[in-house]
Amino acid sequence: MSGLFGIIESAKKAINSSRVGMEVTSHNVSNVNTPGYTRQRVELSSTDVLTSKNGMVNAGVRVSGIKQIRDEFIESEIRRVANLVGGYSVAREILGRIEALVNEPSDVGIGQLLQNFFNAFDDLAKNPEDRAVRVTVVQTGRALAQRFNDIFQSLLGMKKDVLYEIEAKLKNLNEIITELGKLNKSAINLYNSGAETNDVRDKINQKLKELSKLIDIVVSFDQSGAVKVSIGGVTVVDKDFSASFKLKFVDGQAKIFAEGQTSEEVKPTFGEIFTLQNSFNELIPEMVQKFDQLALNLINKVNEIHRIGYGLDGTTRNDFFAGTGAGSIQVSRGILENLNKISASINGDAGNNEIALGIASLKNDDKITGFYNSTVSDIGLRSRMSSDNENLQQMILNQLEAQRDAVSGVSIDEEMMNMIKFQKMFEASAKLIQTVNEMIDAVLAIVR
Amino acid sequence: MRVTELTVIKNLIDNINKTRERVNEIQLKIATGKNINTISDDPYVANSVMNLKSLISKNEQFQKNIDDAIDILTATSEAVDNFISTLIDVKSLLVEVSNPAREPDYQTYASRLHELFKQMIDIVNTKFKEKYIFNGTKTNVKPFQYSERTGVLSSDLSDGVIKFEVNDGVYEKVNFTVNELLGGREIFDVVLQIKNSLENGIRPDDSLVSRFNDLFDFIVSQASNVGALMNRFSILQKQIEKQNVVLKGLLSIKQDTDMAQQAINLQKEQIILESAYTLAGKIIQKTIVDYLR
Repeated sequence: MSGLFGIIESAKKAINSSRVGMEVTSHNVSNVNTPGYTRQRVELSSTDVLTSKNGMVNAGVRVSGIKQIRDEFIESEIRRVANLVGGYSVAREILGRIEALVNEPSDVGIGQLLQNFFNAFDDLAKNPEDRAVRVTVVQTGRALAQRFNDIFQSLLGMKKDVLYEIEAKLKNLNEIITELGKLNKSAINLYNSGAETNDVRDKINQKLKELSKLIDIVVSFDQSGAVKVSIGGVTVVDKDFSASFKLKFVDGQAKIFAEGQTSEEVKPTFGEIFTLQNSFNELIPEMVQKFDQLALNLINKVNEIHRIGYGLDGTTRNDFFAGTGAGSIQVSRGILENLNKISASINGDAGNNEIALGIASLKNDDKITGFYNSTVSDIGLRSRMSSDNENLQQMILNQLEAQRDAVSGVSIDEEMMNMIKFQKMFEASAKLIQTVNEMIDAVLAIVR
Repeated sequence: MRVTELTVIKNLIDNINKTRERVNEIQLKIATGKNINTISDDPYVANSVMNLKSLISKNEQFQKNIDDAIDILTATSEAVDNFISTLIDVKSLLVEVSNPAREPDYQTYASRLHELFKQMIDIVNTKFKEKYIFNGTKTNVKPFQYSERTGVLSSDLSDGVIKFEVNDGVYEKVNFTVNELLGGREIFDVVLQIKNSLENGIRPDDSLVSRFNDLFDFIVSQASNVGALMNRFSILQKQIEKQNVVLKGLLSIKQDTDMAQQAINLQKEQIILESAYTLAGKIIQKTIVDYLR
């Protein structure tokens, strides 16, 4: 008699287990499109049965756990590559903007404007007495100077944009870090209460991926699933501690400080924030410096020759360009006011053109056109390299995510089959209970 | 390997994006007609495109310079021809005057010679594009001033050389000065002296006439230099033109897109894209759910 109730008991366990199975299946199917979700699986094991010739005691199944199918190695590779993708994509974007600014090869870039300017002097050499040619010389000079000014201003504007972007990214970083602190806390709490921390782990992982796009991180987990994160040797998340980041300026350089118990400078080595910081501190100033140098070379070389010569009005020692760099270069006021001050002649003769020829010959100068061409190629090469790198790393990232998906992703086909499996298990167990019920009825009928 | 729905869809989207990127690239190439639209498209080729462009721009400037030089030399050569034919008139006049068989009317000859002399002055004061072409670098100064009233000839001559750039670092002179072509103002002085002597009814001195003949020979021989220089410029012009054709060809090879090739590429990518779309509809539909009925 006691055996029959035992069977109902074990069928009940099976019904419970299949319900858990259904729950997990339903959870998996619900999260099929959730980014960073790791599929979960019910671990079933048979109960500790006491089997004797009198039958089985405590037969049945039990749920030993709900486990995640996860590959830690792929996860950490994804973080590493996401960091590279983040850094290169920002670099590509910034260099692309500089490239668009330079606008070469085209008919409106500095290269062509330099050519026009020197050609105008060559025309002046042919007609040093002509006023109309002088107008062209001044116009081409102004167009060139304005282009320099534009590039200079745009580079400064870009620097400002980059700064805003760093601030926005730091805000994002702070949010993620705070979130990680909270997730750590709930992971520890759940763990201490004996529950599984599966879904918290997923969320932490997802946040870590977002984080590593911004900045390079070193990650370690404890057994509860709580994470410890450090950036450039500075611990920024540990248990429920989370630091906050601030931007500070030291000697015009943008530096990032982590404000926790103490304030420490964080020196990232790659990622979006690193590339932005590097653009602000190095790349853009370097570009500004190059255009400044180019403008200065132009001003000095042209003026050096121009000052020796004589204008049509007989004056000498006039400068053609004024200014000291890309931002300030312009055609000098004296020349704008009186075109006859443009020197073409070396001795004051109206028909002498040696100064004009001398200035025109600067078109082959290494410090002007040569310098410009090498600067432009340098920008192009770097832009190309960062976009190639971005594409490559993005491809690797896709590959890794496919691998991660292969291990941890939810397959609807698989879940549907699990569903049928648990459904059948449930039906069979119910049938069992019904049958045992009939058996008990039969036994009771004997008594009646 | 387990392949889940997400993997399939992600790959599909990735691949469609890549194809669309390529289509976009091809469309840009076709729209601009250029293979290189930014430096980063191909830094090495872009660099040589920039170099070629600056070479072509320089060459075009040289071409313009040579054309202008030829204009100046044509004007110079015309003036020199006129000058020589005037001198020939002077010469035949002198022959008539020096004929001992005749008792010429010196006054008439003097006034004819005076006209020829003024013609000579006018020619040597020739202006081309507002410039005195025979006065070196003092192109705004009249080389000779002759006052009919006082009979005084004054001159302000420059030997300045005007050079144009005709190739990288190659400068060629384009002007001829009075000293170079005519040996200075002596020819004018000689003719003026002869005229003065005729006016006074005296037969010009034989030494003066023979000096004139010497100078005439000198000027005729110098005049051939103008033609020689013009020839040199014509040769340079042809060279530069040829260079330009070659450079433009090179630029076109490097920079211009092959339309036929790109059209084929575009067609190819579009077929790929369309098949991907069609396939996408089929792949995503089918799961086991379709069979659980």
